[in-house]
Amino acid sequence: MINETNKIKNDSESKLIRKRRDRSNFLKLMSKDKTAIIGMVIVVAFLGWSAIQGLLEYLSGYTGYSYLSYILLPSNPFHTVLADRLLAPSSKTVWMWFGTNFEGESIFSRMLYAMPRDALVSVIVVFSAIAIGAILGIAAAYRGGWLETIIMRLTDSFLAIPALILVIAISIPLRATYSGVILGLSIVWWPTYTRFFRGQVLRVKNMDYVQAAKINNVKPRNFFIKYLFLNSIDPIIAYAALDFGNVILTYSTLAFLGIGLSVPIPELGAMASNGLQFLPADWWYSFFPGISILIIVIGFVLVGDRYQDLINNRIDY
Amino acid sequence: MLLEIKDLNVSYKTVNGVASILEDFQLQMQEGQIVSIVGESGSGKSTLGQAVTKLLPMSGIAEGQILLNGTNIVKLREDQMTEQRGTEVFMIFQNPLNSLNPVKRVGSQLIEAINIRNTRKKENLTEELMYEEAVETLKIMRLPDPDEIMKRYPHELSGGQVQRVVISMAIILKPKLLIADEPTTALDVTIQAQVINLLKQLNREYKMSIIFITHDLSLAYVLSDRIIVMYAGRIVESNPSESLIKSPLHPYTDGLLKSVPTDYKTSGTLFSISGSPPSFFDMPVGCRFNLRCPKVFEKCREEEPKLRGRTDGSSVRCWLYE
Amino acid sequence: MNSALILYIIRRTIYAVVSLLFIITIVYLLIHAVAPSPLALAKVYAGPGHTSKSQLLAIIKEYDLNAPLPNQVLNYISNIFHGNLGFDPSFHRPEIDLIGRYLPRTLELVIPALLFSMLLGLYTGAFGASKRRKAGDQVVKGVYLVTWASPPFLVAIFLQVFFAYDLHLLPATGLVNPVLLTPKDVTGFPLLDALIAGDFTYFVSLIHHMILPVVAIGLLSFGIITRLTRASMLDTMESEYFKLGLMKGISRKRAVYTVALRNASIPIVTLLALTFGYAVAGAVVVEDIFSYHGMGWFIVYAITNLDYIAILGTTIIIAISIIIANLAADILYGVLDPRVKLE
Repeated sequence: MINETNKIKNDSESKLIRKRRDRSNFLKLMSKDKTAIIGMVIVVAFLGWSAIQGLLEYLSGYTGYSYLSYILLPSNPFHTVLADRLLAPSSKTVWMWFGTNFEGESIFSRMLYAMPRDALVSVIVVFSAIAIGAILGIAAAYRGGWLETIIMRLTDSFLAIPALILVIAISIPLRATYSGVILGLSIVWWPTYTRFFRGQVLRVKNMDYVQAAKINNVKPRNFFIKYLFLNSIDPIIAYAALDFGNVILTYSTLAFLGIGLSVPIPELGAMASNGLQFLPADWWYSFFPGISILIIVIGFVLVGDRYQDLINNRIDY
Repeated sequence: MLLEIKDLNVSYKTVNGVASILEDFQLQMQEGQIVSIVGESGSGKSTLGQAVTKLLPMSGIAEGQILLNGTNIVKLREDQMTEQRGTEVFMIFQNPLNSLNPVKRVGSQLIEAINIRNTRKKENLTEELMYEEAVETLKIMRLPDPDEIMKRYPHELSGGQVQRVVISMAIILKPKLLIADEPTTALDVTIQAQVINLLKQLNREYKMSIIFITHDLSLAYVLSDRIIVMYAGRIVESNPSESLIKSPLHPYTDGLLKSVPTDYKTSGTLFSISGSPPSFFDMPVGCRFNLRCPKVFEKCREEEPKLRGRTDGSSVRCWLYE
Repeated sequence: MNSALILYIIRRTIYAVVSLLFIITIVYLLIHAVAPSPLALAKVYAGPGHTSKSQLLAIIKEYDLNAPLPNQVLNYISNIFHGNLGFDPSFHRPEIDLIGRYLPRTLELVIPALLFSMLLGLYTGAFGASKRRKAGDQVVKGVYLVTWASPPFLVAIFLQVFFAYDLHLLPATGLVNPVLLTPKDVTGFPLLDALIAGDFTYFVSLIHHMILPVVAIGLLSFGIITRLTRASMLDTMESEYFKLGLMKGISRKRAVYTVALRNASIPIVTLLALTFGYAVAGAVVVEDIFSYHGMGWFIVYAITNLDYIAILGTTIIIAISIIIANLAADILYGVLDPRVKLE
C-alpha cells in the first residue's frame, strides 16, 4: 500500500515536472509551425504598436500637446484637406498608401491612430471575463449543490443570446459610449469562461495526481494554485488567445453599426461603415480598415489555434 | 509460411525527434500456429499489431518486410490493404466498450462483415441467409438470446458480450491470421477464461493462426505454441512456450516469470524487477536491459547484443549466450 | 420511439421554458441596473428627443414602472406571453406587428444560411480530417480561418462588390425588385406568399435578392462547424470502432464518410443553436449592407433612432427563437444518439 501511494506520488510529481518543462518549451514548440510564427508576429506588432501609440495618445491628452498623438504617424489623422478628398491609394508617400477619406484625411494614419482602442477593449474584456469566469466557475465546481445550479442556469441563459445582440441591448441605454461598450461587452463576455473553468476543475479534481496530492496533505494554497489552477488553465489560455480576436470582431462590428465612439475619433469598424456609401468606386475607404481587422484577428486565431493543438497533442510536426 | 516478418523497424516522428518504437523485429509463423507477444506497456508489442494491419498512426513509419502469404504489407497502398483486411488478417482490440460503432445495431454490424465476405468470395447470399448466419454465429459464441442481441446497440451489452460479438466477426470473416491485442485486459477474470477458450476454439476449428499480444505471461503460456518476449522495442527472447516457462534464457524473461504470483500463501513478498523501462528518447548504451539486469557485466554496458538463433529453435538477445 | 426518448424530449422542453423565463428576467433586470429609477426607465422607453414630464408619467403608468420589481418582472413576462411587446414610439405601431413583419424575412435568410453553413462545415471538416496534414487540409484551414476572422461586414462587402457591382450577376441591395407588386400577405413569409399567389416572377426576384445575403451569413458561421467537425472526426478516427470497421475490410473512404462522420456529427448537432445565434448576429450586419429589410435592418434602424422598445422586443424574440433552435437541436441529438438516456 505504501508502495502504491509512493508510486502515485512519483507519477504525480513527474507529471507536474513534465508540465512545467512543456511550458518552458512553449516558445520552441510554437515556433515549429510557420503559421504560428506569422500569428505571433502579427499579435506582437499589434499589441506593441497599440501600447506605444496608446501611451502617446494618453500623454497628448494629459499634456495638451496634441501633436504628440501623431508624432509617429505618417500624417495628422485629423488634418482635413478638402482638395485631397477620396484620393486613391498610391505608393508615393506613406500617408497615401491606403488612400484618403471624404474629408481628405489619410486612411492609413487614421487606422494607426485607431488601433490602441481595439487593443484596450480586447484586453479589458478578456481579462475581466477570465476573472469573473474563474470565480464563478471554480465556485460552481467546488461547492456544487444549489450554488452550482444557479450559476450554471445563469451562464446558460446568457449564452443563449448572441453577444452582439445582448451588447446592443445593454449599451443603448448606456448611451453607446466607448466605456459603455466596454462595460456592455464585459457584462456579456464571462459565461464561456465560467463553463470552461467549471469543466476544467471538475476534470482535474478527479485526476490521480490531484487525488494523490490530497492524500499527501499538500498545503491548501499550494494545492489550489499548483495542482488545480495551473493544471486547468492551459486550455483556457489557448481559448483566451483566440478570444482577443473575437472581442475585436464584436467591437468593430458594434462600431460599424454606430455604437461606441463619438464621431471625430477614428475607429476601424466605423471607418468601414462610413466608406460603404462610396462603394464600389472608392473601395479603399471600407476595404483597408476591414482588412486590417481581419489580419489582427487572424494573428490571434493562429496563435490560439496552435496552442490548442499543442495542448491536445494534435501537433502536426 | 503464413507470415514472415523480416527486419521490421517502426518509428514515430515527434516534437522531440524520431523515436524508434520497434527495431529489428523478426517472426516466422506457420498456418495454425499461435504466437504470443509478451511485454510491458511501451515495449512495442501493440505497435507490431498495428504494423501488420497497417493501422499505424499518421506519424508512424514502418520499414522492412511483412510478408503475409507472400504479399509485402509494408509496400501496399491503402486500397490494396483494404482487400487484405477482414478475410486475410483481422484484429481484436483491447477496449471492448469502444470496439463497436455506437450508433449502429449489433446485427447490422455483423451483417456488414458477412456482406464483405459475401462480395469478396462471390457467395451471393440473400439478406435472410446473412441474418441467419449472424444469429448462428452468436449462438456459437454462447451469447444468450441472439435474436435480441442483434437488435441491441453496443452500449446495451456488457464488455464480455461485445468482445464475443467481435470474435464472432472473426468467425464470419475467417481470416487466415487473427491478431488479438490484449483482448482480455479490460475484462473480469471469469470472462477472460471464456475469451481465451474461444480463441483456442477458433484456432482448432478454423485453423486460424493467432498472434496474441499480452502483458500476462501465464495467459500466453496457456494459449500459445511460441512466446516472444519484448523489451524496449526489441525481441529479447523467442522460445516455444513450454521451454520458455521451464528454462527461460534471458534474465528479463526470468524476472517476468518470477513476478507471476503463483504461491501467494507460502512466500510473503512478490518479486518485482527493479527500476522501470527506459524512455524511447533516452536509451541506455549497450544492452537496453542493463540498468535493471541482475546478471549485468562489463560488456552489457558497452555493446548491444544481437538476437541469436540457437539449435533448439529458440533465440535470445543476451551476452550470456554468446 | 422509445419511452426514454419521449421522457428526454419532455424534460428538454421544460428546460427550454425555464431558460426562457430566466432570460426574460435577466434582460429586464439588466435595463433596471442601467436605468434604476422609474423616471430614467421611462426616458429610455420614450426614446430620443424631448419628452415632457407628463408624457413620462404616462409611460410610467402604462408600463407600471412604479410597482415593486418582482411584480414588474411578472408583469413583463405575462405581457410577453400575451404578445404585448410595447408600442413603438417611432413607427407608432405595436412592436409585435413590426417584428411580425420583419422576423419572417430574416428567417428566410437565416434558415437557408444555417443549412448552407452546416453542410459546408460538415463536408470541409470531414475532408480536412481525412486529408490530415496534406495540402487539402491546409486549404480548408486557410479558408475557414479567413472567413472566421474577418469582420462580418468585410465578407458582405466583398460579395456585394464582386458579384453585384463588378460581375452584375445578382442585385446589390433590397428585398425584391421594387417594380413588382407585392402578393397578398397570408403567412408573413414573402417566399410562401409568392408561392400561394402563384406569382412566379416575384418568387424568383426574392430568391435573386436572397442569394448573396444567405451566402454571406453562411460563410460567416461555417468556420466553427468545420473546426469542430475536423477535431471530432480525428477523435473518432482514432477510436477502436473506426479501426475495427477498417479491419472488417471497409474501404477507408467509406469508413471516413459513414462510420466516422456519422459519429462525429453527433456533437455537431449541439452547435446548431450556437450557429443559429451566430447567423442571426451576422444577419444584423449583412441586412444592413444589402439593405434587406428584415429584423437585422430593423435593429440597425432602432439603434440609429435610439428606439429602445424595439431593441428590447427584438432581443426577446431572438432569444425565443434561439431557445426553440436549441430545443430542436436537443431533440435531434436524442434521435441521432442511441446512447441518450435519462441523466
